[in-house]
Amino acid sequence: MPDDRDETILRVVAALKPLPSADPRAVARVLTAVHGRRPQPTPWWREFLDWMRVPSLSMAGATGLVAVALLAGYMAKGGLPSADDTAIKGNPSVLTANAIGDSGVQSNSSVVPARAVAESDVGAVPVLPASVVADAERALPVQFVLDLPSAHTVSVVGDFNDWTVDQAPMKKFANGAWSITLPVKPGRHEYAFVIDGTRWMADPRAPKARDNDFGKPGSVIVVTTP
Amino acid sequence: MKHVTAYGGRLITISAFLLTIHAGGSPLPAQSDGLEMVSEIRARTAIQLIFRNTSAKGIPTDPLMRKVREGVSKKSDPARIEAAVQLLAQRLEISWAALAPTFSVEELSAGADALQVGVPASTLRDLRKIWMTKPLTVPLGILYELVSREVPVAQSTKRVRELMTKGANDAQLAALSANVVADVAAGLAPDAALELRAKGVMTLLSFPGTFTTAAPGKPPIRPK
Repeated sequence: MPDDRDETILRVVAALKPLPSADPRAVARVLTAVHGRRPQPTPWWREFLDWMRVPSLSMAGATGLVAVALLAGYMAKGGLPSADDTAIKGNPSVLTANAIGDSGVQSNSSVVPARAVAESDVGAVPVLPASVVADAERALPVQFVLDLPSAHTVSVVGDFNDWTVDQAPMKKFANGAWSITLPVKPGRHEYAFVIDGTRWMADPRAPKARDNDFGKPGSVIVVTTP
Repeated sequence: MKHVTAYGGRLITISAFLLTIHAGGSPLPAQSDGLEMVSEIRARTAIQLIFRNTSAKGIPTDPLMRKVREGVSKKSDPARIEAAVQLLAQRLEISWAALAPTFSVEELSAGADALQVGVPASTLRDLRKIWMTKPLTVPLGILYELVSREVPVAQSTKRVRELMTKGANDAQLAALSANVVADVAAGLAPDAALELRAKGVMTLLSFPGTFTTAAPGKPPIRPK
């Protein structure tokens, strides 16, 4: 008997197990009704007041929060780049083009103050086409030579490499002479040799420069297009 | 008091944050503007202001940055760097106006350098009119060289202008300058050296074929 009863129960269960087919439109109606009755979100001002209503706050915690806020404030003021900072880092009024010299030496050249046309305070300043500038201001290879066998390191610094001491280290040859060839734009340039990273020296082969601003020894080179 | 009651802590925090944001200056230096190399904060702030003023006028600030780097590389006093940048900014503004249309930052710098040794802005404007389609970088550099070798400004300007009008090119002007510098180093008076060398270039310019390859007037006759 228990088996019969079990079998009967099983049949009933099997008959009831599948869900009755439902009309999809009815399901959609039910879901729409449920969605429509969803509770309204809490207003922002209510959430803010709840957040503010803390039961208590330790002095250490409050101090820590103030410190974090101060740091964030300083970072926001000093860390975010302003329009002026952008102008200092890389002047947006300057267009830059690359030019390859006759010798294949690549260099940055041809910078034109373009923004001045629209908003210069010194009046409307017409600007020549960049293509004209690119040809006229193309950098040319210039060799710098210094005969100083006793030196351990020699580098050339000048306005053409922004006076960066370690940017143009010269190569020493067997006879003790140092040499390097750099791309230099046409015009008058001042430069010097830095011996062993510390001592500044003018080029004995070139005219001396008159350093009006800082009083270091230097030399002059005038580069022209061929 | 161990605890701050409800609302207190958060109010303090928010107030401090807003006050800090509202405050005009920041004790932390502006990041990555390339001027961190100037060690003294006061000088750095002054230089930043010069940069901003120059940039606001539409003038490129590259020459100013180059001057800062020059001063730092030469281990100059920050106050001296600031003074040099300030003076350069003034000259750049004059040069910018006088040379318009400016070809390049290099030309602009050359104009500012010429002003530094006493070449007047009117000369820059005059030379611009002569060479409207060519950069004045080299002629202005030559003027700087001549004047800094004690050749009088008026004489230097007159001769360079004359040579440019007659068609001298950059290479000829550079050769003139190199010869004058060598003559002065050898003991010749600066004004006399310029007169001598300018006449030499002028003589070459009066023969247009000097620097060109002559083409045959008629086809060569093949010998029989």
